Amino acid sequence: MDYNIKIFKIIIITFWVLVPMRTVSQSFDPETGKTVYSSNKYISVYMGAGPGSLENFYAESAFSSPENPSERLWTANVLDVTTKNSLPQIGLKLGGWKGWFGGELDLSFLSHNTPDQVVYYDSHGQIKLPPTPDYPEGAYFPVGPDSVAIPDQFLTFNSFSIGGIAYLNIPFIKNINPTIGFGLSFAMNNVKSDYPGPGSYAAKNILNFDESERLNTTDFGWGFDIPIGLKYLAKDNIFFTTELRISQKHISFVSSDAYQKEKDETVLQSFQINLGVGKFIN
Amino acid sequence: MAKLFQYCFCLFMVSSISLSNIYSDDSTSQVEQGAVTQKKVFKKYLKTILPANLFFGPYAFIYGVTIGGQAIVDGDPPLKANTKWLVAPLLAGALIQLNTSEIKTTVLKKPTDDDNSTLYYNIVYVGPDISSIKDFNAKGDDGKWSANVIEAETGTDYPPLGYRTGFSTSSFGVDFEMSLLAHHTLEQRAYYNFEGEIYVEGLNDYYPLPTSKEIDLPTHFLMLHSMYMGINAYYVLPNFGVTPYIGAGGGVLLNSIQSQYPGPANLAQEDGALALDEMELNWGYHGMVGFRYMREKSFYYLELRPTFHNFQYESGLDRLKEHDQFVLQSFQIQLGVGKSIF
Repeated sequence: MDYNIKIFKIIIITFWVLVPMRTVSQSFDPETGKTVYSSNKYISVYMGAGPGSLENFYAESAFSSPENPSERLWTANVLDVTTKNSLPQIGLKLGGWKGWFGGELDLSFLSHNTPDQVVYYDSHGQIKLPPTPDYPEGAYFPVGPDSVAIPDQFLTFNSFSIGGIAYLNIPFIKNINPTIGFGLSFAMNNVKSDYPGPGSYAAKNILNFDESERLNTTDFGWGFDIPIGLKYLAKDNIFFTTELRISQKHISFVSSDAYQKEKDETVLQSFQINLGVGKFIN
Repeated sequence: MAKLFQYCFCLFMVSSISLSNIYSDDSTSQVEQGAVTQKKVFKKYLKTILPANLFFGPYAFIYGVTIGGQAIVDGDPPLKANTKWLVAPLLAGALIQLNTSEIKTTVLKKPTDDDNSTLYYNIVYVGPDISSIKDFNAKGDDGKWSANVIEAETGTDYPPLGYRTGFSTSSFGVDFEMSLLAHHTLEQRAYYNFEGEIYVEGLNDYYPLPTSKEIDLPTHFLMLHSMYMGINAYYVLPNFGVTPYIGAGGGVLLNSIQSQYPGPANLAQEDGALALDEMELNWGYHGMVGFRYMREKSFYYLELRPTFHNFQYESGLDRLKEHDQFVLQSFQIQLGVGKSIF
């Protein structure tokens, strides 16, 4: 329920972030006495790439501890995992500005995956092993802090985001407008792996998981962006953009199977350099 | 049923008040007093169709659910039962549309203004979705146990179908929406997290359950039918060949929960003999981002919607009676066609 309320808030916030997009493009014509809209409306596309990382990857068992039902069977935490682009980030913006203020509707696709690396994790609790003839009720195996070598593309994150960006449009010199903004977005996050999930993989030495159980799950999430860029107004109706975009995407998903089922949460942080081209529209 | 009418009445009052406020009486500076404007005709149109939809829609839905439930009892496969369920509200919807369009053309006065700044529209749509049950929580009526499944896969036999009526200016829009949704759980192995002890009939005693337990669910273990009645508000963005918009909506859900098994706890004991057939009122909400392609008197649109529908009901029998609740979460891709009312 908390998760739903959080998403609901994001939707409302995103909606209101978009309000400047129209209000700042209004002006008052004293001759006619009417409010008129400026023509600084545009559509632009962009593409870019950059490094990323998973910040605070947290996983917990879907099951509670038999000794203490108020606690999870196990929890695990990883502070930092490096990621790289699977595909260049691509996006579409619909926006407008008036004077110092502007707003954009931003639709973007970001794809990152984890390269091969050794991951150190802090974990506590115990994992449940499936029932066997010797242990018909299953058995429990204690876990603790450890490390695991993950293969290339162990986790792939595909995030489709829709959000609003409000930005400052700083008049610098003729034809060049530096911008700095802040955006909130709602995202559909797809997480894929050739393995059932991070927890199962970490316990691969004591578990015989079925490798055909590949993770492929899609869930909602949210994120924020800080784009810092330049607009170069090349012709009357064409402009080019370059921006450094710092973004964080909050991702949660359910992974692994059977008694290893787990809830995972992480923040995909990325630094993207984006190049784009736009066209003014009437 | 009394609760249902209370909800319908509240929804009708809220929608009437909100639409009335948005559509305050025309300014005499623009339109002469007493002139028949599109705004006035649309308000009358709403006053006619809203009661019809809010009364006959749920009535037909309940009738459809009854027919579908009877089909399951008679041994029909779930797909056939769902088809029977769908026919009743669709027929009622078609009849309401037929009747209200006749009212619009013959009873209501023709507007005399030529105001093109506001589009008054009716929409029909189909909305295939990707859905799942999130956080299924069950609690024993005796207070001795609780269970949780963090996620369960769901699917559809028929995609959601809906109807919307409202208006859109160059900057914002509001519409009323009614839709029919039918989801069911897919065949899967679910893993419950249990706490407490549960009554076992064979032992005539309570038995402590392990904290984690697996259960094989057949397809259509839960059949979820909903009628959604709500209001959407959206913000229209600058046109660039297609008109994008972004907004949110919320409304009342009339939920039907059916199963060939009394409830999850009973199935866990493989004691599924009687059907679960519950109906309840709840609420749901969604965000929406859409793109509208305008024609002269009509438009086509594509809308992306994250939706969250709440379910809360009682299941099980006797000492295995339980209180269940979950959120049906979906990502809906709505494809529709709209037509100007005038």
